[in-house]
Amino acid sequence: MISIDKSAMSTKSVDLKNLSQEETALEIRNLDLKYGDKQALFDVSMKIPEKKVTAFIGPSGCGKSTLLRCINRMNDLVDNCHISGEVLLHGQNIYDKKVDVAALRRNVGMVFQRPNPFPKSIYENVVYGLRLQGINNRRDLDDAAERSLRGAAIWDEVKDRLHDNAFGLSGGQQQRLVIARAIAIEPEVLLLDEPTSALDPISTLIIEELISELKSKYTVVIVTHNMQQAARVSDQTAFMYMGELVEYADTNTIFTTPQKRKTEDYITGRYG
Amino acid sequence: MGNWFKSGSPWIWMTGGAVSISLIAVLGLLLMIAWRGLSYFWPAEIYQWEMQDQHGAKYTLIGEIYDTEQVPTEQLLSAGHVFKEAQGDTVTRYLVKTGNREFVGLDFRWILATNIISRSQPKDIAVMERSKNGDFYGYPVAVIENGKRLNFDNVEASFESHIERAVVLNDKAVDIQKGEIGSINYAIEKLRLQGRGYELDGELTPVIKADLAHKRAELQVQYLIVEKQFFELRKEAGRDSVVIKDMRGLEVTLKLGSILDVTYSNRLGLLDKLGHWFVGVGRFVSDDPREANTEGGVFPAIFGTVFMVMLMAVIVTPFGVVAAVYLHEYAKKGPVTKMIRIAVINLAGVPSIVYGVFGLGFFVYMFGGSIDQLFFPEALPAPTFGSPGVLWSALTLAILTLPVVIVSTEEGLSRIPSSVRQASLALGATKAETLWRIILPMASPAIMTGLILAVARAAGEVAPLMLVGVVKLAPTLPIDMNFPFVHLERKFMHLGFHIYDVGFQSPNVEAARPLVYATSFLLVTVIVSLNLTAIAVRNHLREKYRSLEQ
Repeated sequence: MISIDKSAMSTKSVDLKNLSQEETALEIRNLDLKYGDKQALFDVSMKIPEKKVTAFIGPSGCGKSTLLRCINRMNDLVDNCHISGEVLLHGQNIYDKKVDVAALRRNVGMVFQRPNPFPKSIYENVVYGLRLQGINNRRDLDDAAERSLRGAAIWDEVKDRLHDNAFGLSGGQQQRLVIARAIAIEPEVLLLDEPTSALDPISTLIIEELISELKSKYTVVIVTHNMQQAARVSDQTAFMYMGELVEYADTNTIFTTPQKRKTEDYITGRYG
Repeated sequence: MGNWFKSGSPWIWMTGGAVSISLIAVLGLLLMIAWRGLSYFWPAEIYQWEMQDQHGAKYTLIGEIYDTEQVPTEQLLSAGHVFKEAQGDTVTRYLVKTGNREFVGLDFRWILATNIISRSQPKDIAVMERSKNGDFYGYPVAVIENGKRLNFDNVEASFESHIERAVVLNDKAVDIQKGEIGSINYAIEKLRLQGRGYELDGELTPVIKADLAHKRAELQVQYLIVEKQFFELRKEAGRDSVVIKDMRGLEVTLKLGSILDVTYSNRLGLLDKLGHWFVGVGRFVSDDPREANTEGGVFPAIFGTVFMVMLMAVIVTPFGVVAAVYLHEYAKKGPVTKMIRIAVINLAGVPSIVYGVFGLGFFVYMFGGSIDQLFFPEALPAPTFGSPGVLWSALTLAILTLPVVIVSTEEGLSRIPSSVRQASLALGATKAETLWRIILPMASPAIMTGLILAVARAAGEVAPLMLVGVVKLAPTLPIDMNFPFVHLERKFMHLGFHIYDVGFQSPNVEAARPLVYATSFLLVTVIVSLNLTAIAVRNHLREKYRSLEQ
């Protein structure tokens, strides 16, 4: 069995089935997604609580990343992608025609599998989102840059070379820079798509610690193929298989007393 | 052998050999053009030959050796040549430039080595570069100053100072002609057009008419004053003459006003020659052409080429980039986009003269003609934009090079990792913002590559330009001091056309041949320096956005 880091579980667990309106950051209702003829998500419904870390786990191709990308409408970029159902962010359906996608994405930040800094200086990377919003006041930008870089636990490493190219950083540093960039615009939700899969173990550890800190301010949703990681960092875990949400519960519950056979098979390593 | 074949060595030799052959070809070409072109400015040795032709007549020849070749004796014999002594298989023949065109008829002649009695290099022979009739070779004997003959045995210094004086005066006169007289003529023409404009609008009241007439009269007065200055300078410059003994032994009087420079080539040491060489090259790139382009410099052609190419770059870059952005970023991927892309690529294969015909028909006649009717009716029937000009040339070449820019920009756009686009979009950027802030800066090295290729192609293109704006001799540059300073409707000179013109259309092809090489070398230099500038910019951009290597 997998050992569970209790420090990550220190917050009080919530009742996912009967989550109140106030506690819910995101609600997914009957979400179906098709790439052309191929259906990738089948009737997914779940509530994601505010200021917690929610992990999506499952074998490759199970649709966990696709589900994550539905939350900030990154799937809009894919041709032939058809979505039905609703994703509610504080009660507002983000697939509503009236929704401004750019505004939504400012509210729902995302960090990708591979570090993807812009070919600009560290500083310009962090303030990119702010400049997009028309903020060009040097002081505001400086403050935001320092705050975000501190928030992403990278300030001490880069404070002396803020104007160097971001590509001079190591992979782990780049990933934290990207997190800093995402939190600089102060989103409510932070989506992390396998944020450590391209990193070495030490960088992974640093990022995991960072995730535990981030949940004090943000609702974090993380996709990971690494079950230990899910167990270490998340408060609740959703197990997905073949495009369906198989089981969604407290991380503790999922890893110790899974209700479904498939979940148990997966976390005990019988497939995946 | 079999093993050697299997080892892959032949393949390496073959590929390496291909590269070497290409390199040798390029270097050989450059070296040949450079050598032939640049050696033209090196002061040649001046010889005096004592000759005796086959009929026994003796004569003297002064000049420089231009070319040497071996002629089969048979050929000369069958041409009716009689040799006193038996010759070998071949006889050496020299091509001699004798200059003095107006006195000897031919300024180049072939002489046979067998006819030469003796050859010497007298130190006193001077080469005079003249504004008309080419070079003059001879022994300066005296200067005529104000009608007074000053023989000189040792007054060469004063001779040179006389020439100096005439050159300075002539330069002043040219400055007045090009500057002030040009401006006044331009202003008078403007006034005429203004008057004609009022007439067309039916607003030519007596008051306006009187006003225009008054202004014109003022300009006329100014003109007469300047003209008087001009003629006085010319007269002053033509005050002195020089008496020269030429190779026939006759004394010839030349006006100093027509002499640009005098060189005692045989007295020059290596350093002096080097100095002359630099002065010659400098003049070549900074002077106006003379004598139907066969002498003087090529400055207007350099200026025209660079100006037109830059104008083209300014036009083609935004167009090409915008088109590529649409094709790559916005257009739906489908058969239509594919077709358009193929069509764009095929456009690059259309012969350039076809673009010239298109430019003439569409830009010059239709577009320019309409502009004239709408904005310059007062000048009609004389066309303003309705005739070939530098703007139409730049536009025609812009269309010609558009595919290159589109293709390489698209290439650059497709090399940008999608993760970077997604990163920007995930931060709340719209597609347009992502394009402006991330994609285009990252694609800028590729855009520069497109521009480099476009410039390289456009600068060497001559055929279409002959239809849409290039002329043999443009009296004025497209940029001058007369408002509005940039005159895009004007015709211009181009190095490529200059090569063609000098090499094939000039009355004296032999004399012009070194100029063809020199101009070719200059054209290559201009293109290479334009490209090197662009490459430097691109490398700078690459360094800045070097994420693509990851």
